[in-house]
Amino acid sequence: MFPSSLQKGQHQTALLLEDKRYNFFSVQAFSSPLTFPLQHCNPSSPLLSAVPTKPKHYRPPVKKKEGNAAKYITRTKAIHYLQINLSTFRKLCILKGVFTREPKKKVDGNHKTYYHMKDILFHAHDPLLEKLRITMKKAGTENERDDMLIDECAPEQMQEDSFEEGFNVDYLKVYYGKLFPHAEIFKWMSYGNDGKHLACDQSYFGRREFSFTLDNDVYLRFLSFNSLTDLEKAIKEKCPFKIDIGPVYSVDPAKRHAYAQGANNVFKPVERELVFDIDMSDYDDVRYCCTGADVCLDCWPLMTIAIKVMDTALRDDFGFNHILWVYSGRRGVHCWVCDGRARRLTNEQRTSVVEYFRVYKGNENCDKKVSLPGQALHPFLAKCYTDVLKIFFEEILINRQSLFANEERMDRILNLIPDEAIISDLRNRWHENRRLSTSKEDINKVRWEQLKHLLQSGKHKVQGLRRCVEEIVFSYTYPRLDMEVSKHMNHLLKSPFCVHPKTGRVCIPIDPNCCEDFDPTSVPTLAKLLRQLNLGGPNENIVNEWERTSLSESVRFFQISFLQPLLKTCKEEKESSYNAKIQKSKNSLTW
Amino acid sequence: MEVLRSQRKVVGPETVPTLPLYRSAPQLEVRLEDFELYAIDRLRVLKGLSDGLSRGKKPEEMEKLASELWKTHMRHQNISEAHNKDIISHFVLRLVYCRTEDLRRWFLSMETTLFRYRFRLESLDAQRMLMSEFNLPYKALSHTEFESVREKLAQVARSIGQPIPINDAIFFKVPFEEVPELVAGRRVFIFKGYAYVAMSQIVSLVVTQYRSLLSKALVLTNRKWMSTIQTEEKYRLTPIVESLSTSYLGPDYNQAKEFTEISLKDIDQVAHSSFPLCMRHLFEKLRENHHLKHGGRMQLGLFLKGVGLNLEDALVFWKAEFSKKVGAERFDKEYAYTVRHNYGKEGKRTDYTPYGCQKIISSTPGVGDHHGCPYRHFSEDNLRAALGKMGVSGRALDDIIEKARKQHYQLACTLTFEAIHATSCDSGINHPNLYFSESQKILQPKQSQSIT
Repeated sequence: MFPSSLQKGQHQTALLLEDKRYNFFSVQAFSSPLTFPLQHCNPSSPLLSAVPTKPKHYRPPVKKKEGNAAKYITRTKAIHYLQINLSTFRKLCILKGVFTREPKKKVDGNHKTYYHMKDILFHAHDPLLEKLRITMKKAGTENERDDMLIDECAPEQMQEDSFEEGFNVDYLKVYYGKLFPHAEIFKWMSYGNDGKHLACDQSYFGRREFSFTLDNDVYLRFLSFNSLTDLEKAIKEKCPFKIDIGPVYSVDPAKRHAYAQGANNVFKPVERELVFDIDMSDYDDVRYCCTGADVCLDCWPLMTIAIKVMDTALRDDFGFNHILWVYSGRRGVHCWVCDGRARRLTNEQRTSVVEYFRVYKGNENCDKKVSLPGQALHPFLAKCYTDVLKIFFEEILINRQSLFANEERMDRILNLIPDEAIISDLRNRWHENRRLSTSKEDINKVRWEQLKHLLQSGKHKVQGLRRCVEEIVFSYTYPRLDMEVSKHMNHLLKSPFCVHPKTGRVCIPIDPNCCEDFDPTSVPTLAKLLRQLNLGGPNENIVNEWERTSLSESVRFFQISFLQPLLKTCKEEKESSYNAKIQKSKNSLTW
Repeated sequence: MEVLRSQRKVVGPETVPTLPLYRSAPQLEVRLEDFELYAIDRLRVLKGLSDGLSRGKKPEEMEKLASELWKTHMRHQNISEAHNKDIISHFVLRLVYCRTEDLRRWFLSMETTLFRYRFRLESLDAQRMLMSEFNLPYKALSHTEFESVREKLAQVARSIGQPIPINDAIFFKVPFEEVPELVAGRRVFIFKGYAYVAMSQIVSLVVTQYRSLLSKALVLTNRKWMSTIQTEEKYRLTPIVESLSTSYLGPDYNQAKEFTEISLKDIDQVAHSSFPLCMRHLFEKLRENHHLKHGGRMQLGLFLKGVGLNLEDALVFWKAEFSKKVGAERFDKEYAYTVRHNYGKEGKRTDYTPYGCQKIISSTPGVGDHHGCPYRHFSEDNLRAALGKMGVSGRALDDIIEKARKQHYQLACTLTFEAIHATSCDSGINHPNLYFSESQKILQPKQSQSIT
């Protein structure tokens, strides 16, 4: 009798799966037959009458009755089955510990998430579900429809209006699936080690640490991937809110515990790009338009200055060539120096480089934050003062930030002058010209000229006053680095082309040669990109989906201006080091 | 190097008056007594240097200090004997300080400092000889090259207050990686990855080389010690070595011992009476803003741990403050981890030790930071105000400000201690937790008297 009742149960399943309007009774009826077969059997059923005799031969089941198609269920179907919406389903999964499964054969398509049928059935009559349904109804029915739609529909079918600005997991999934330049990131991180050349270190990419920040601030560190497909698969599957890139370790970071057993811990970072992080929030005492995490076009020139100063110095002074500037997604910029020489710097050498750049000192309790002692400025500082800082300060920042507009701001500048007589003199003059009805634009400039004139007019050749004008300009414009990020090899930094979870903006590269034109408010956002993706019809000529969106400009810039020259240098380095090795071994042979 | 018991049979090499590079252990026989005595003498020198550094002495003062220390402790009637003593003591200490990462780091930095100042005292010719011993591949700048960058070199020289290079000045063109300290101080001209190092700065180049040699040697010694020497010499050398390494580093205040625990309710009162200014300032800022940036959290958090605040109380303490600004939920998510991390309950599970004065003084607080040493990082007016709030005034206040101006930060701190507690403190303050425990030592009896 067992097989037949089983068949009956299966029959019911099929019905259930096809019928969209499941009711509760049928769910219970379905899940029970295995345990209480008799209760549900109708004695008059023709099937039952045949029970005592065994079936003579195995009857092949109908489609979707057996195997993967019957064992697993996609998320949409599960949601329909349980008669809840996506967010409630998520809650249920978290509360009850239901995990997604990886069927061997994904019957409904590769990009979908699957759950085990038994898991879903087990929770179908959970009392919690009933409670969730009630709260769900209370929460309003408007969002429900949207959620369900976005879930698994292809983006092309979505309505244009449904892309709200901001950040959304479902958008992110599409972004990682279609737009994120996995291959480019992989090429970059391999540094030419993915080739066929004999000098290539095949384990190189696999020793690189990646780290993902998932939804709900779950933080996965020490991830490593062996190939492009591994990386791509993991990103698409986990859909991380943030991808961080760490150093290349001596051994595979995922297996670090295996190596930690020995007496000498061999697990240590061996290579890492020289990175810099500049945050707008560090400039809060010299900008009046916004504070904290906000940026606008009036304070962005500070970042432009930082890029210009750092980029020239890294190229001219330190001789680096492969430098990537990236918008951090909200309030700052990141810099990746990728030359082989830069990647192999020790912690101490890294510290020395950031110290070289550091002019700004002192904490909250010190009025004067920049001091430039000595008879002359270091050539690097002198150069950036005349080439960048002075121009930006006088032409842009004085007016945009209205640095001399009111008492408080004036006091802040006057505090930087060590001479009391000059301070009172200036204060009187500024007080006077307030009454003169000069236009608002001018007053800042006039006051600055007065200050400059008074300090440089030869009358005051006092020690300490000589540098005062420079010191003011330096404190208001010179780049302020987050030093800790650059000092140690194992500091993580967000990967380019990530999406910032708060703003939805993509972290795109910035061209240092025209960084004046970069506008943080107009970078591609997640919603904008999906809208563009949606608009363009299918095009045969296009290989990558990103070519249809405004991301193409950035990816192309990344490829042509950064990746290609970098890989070329890597190849040359590889070949020369390989030839040297060959030569050496030859020499030792003849000897 | 062989160690003999009470037999004198030293076969020294021919007298080499210059600074040794300690490339390989000498084939000498040493008496066991000397073995220990020499090492202790050298340790005195290193310890003196370490104190000098933490007092924030300037290079010129350090140079004087180094030569004085060397003369008092390491001199010997016989020149070759003195040379031997130098080498022997170095290798003994190498053995002593190779065993853990912390010991190695301390030894490395002190030996490098010693080497630096001894190198500077050598004559020019001797310096050049030492340079050639390192086999550095760098050639002096040719005349045409010198002319092409002359202007820039002059500019650098003026910016650091050195005489302007003349025609026959010797400059070396080296990769900037080789001279990190010159790069960090912006004391050299750098162009296309090469630093132009003047002859007077060559010490940095040599020191880097010396340091890397010694660092590698220490790791090797450690391996050897672990694998063979430790067991072979179990009864003879091991006890000496182990006692030597523990004797001079000073306590690290990892666990509070004398005053078992402080509880949350009297933390305010204790902060008022016994915290040094750096911690008091952080504490007040925390109460005021309900937030501290990372550097401040580390400095105060580890100090409180050293004072005896246990993990549960620490979590309650930080949560109470932070939740007023960022909310309890965000605290649990973002900040609680660091607190537990400090107590060795997360991640690497290292039990971190509280910051010492040297570390605090050398820290570099940025915008919005409140950590660091007030005597160094405050402007004079702010320092005056802060000290006034602590109840210091008059002569004492001026003395403290004077010391801070002269960069004797720890002396300034000691003076503050004396002014507040109205006693003298001979040992000096070199750790915030020392300040706290000394203060408690004075205050505790008084309290118990007043209670009874």
